[in-house]
Amino acid sequence: MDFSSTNDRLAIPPKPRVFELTLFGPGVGECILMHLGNGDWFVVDSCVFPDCKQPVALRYLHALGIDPEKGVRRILATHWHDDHIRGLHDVLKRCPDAVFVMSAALQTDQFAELVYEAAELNKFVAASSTATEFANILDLLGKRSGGSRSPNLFASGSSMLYQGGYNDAVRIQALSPSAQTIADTLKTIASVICTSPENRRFRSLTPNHLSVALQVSAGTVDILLKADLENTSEPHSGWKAVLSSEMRPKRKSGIVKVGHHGSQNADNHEVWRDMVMANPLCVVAPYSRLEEPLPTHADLERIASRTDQCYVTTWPPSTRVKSRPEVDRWLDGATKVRRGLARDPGFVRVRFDMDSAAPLPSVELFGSACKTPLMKR
Amino acid sequence: MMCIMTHAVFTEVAEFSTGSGVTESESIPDTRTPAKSDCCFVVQGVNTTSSLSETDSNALGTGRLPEIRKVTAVRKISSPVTLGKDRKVLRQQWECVVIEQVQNVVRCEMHDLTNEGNPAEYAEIFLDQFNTYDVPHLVEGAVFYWCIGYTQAANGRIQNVSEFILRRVPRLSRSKRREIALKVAGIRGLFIDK
Repeated sequence: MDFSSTNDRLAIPPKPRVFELTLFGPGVGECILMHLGNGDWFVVDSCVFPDCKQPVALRYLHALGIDPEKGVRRILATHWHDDHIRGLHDVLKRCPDAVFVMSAALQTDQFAELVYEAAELNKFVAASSTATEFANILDLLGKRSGGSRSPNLFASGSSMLYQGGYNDAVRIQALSPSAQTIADTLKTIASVICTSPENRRFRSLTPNHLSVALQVSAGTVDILLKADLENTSEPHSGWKAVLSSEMRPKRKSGIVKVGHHGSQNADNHEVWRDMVMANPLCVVAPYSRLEEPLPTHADLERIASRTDQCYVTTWPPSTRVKSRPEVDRWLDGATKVRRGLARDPGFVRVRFDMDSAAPLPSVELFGSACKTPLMKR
Repeated sequence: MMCIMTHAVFTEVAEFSTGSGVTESESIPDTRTPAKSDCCFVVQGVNTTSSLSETDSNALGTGRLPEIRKVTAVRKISSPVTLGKDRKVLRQQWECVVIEQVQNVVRCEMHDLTNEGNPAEYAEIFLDQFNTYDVPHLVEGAVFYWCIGYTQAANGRIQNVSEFILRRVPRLSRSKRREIALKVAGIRGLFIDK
């Protein structure tokens, strides 16, 4: 993926009155960058492209000629799955004035204890570890504030995360997690801490329910960023809680970041009906670490029934692995499925003019980003 | 006449008479690493594997005594002979992080440690490939190593090997727990709304 400034089209920064939403996705992982106007940026999650260890958000801002230290105002970790937080510590480090935002369901020092324990046990693992990434973030936040004051926001169903931007016309509100989910999670964390240290598991919590979904209002356009929030059987958690909340904005969104990589478990008919305009502009970041990568063919068909303008950051989401004759015999005999996670990654960039009364968003595709396969015809 | 040097070392344990007028000895193979004083034998005769040659077999029926072959120590080897050490050659090794265990497979992400430039892979590995006692430990976040290579025995025999090594994590020591508790106390303020 060429991020160098020689890529002329990519390197054009947005004008102060232009809102930008860019979704990055290498096949496993996603990151969203939003330009809120006047040079202010909002980073949602982080991922790393396979050709470079630097977080994609920093590479992109560098390619645009923007200093992250001056431009980034907020950094949000929607939840702690590794495909959403790889490189997040580096992003935070490079943006000392940015406010760090995380799910209010994790607002307990007992969570920090679990994170540090897991990070200690993962010390010698070469593969990226969620716990290590989070432990580094906590260390950094502690160092910056002296550990005595909270420099960060804890997002819940009614939190206003940002207000400002061009002409003061941008508002970003969290839609989740619900009060019920927060209470349940804090209870779970407390019970995990009470178990014997040998049986504690940092990952035994279910982080998708804690995801921070967002509604962004930028001038006359609303954008729904669904994170990985799923449907649950409980009326007071997941998307049901969002729908029943009196605090959520009642404007319908014209642009949607499809939830949980297009998966069925994050799709909710009422959300499409009550929170999204007809035929919205949709973007999806695929996820290939499954037997059948997301979005599946059925997911694509379902999305196609809602809109005829949906774009994916990379397709197909996985590749065949390189053949190594001397070891392939063993690998083939021992495995049911095997595929490469990395392929040529890509990103989708949507821009519109916040000054316009009826803005027409422009969609630009980079790398292997494309219109979803079922919509090509 | 052909001389064949045998590399096996034998220890004489008992001497007995066969009644044929020939004193023979019974030997068992010695698996220890030979000392400097151990000898190498030269067997005089072509057939070193069968106990009786064709001529000998024929002689049994006729009542003639079989031909007695001489075994003589001819020289000492100055350097020790290595018998027990196999050589293990690694072709490829992955660090695998478990995503989940589903039915008869474990889903994992594999990172090539042999060549870190290789892209990560997703794999579903059959559980029957693992040591039975390791299977309960293949939970989300667990780490194991998959090594594929071969062993070359001292006799030159090559055997392909595929091995799964589960990373068992030691308990955190009390001092480490105290250290973590202090660290958490130091950042407690981060979790309090002001």
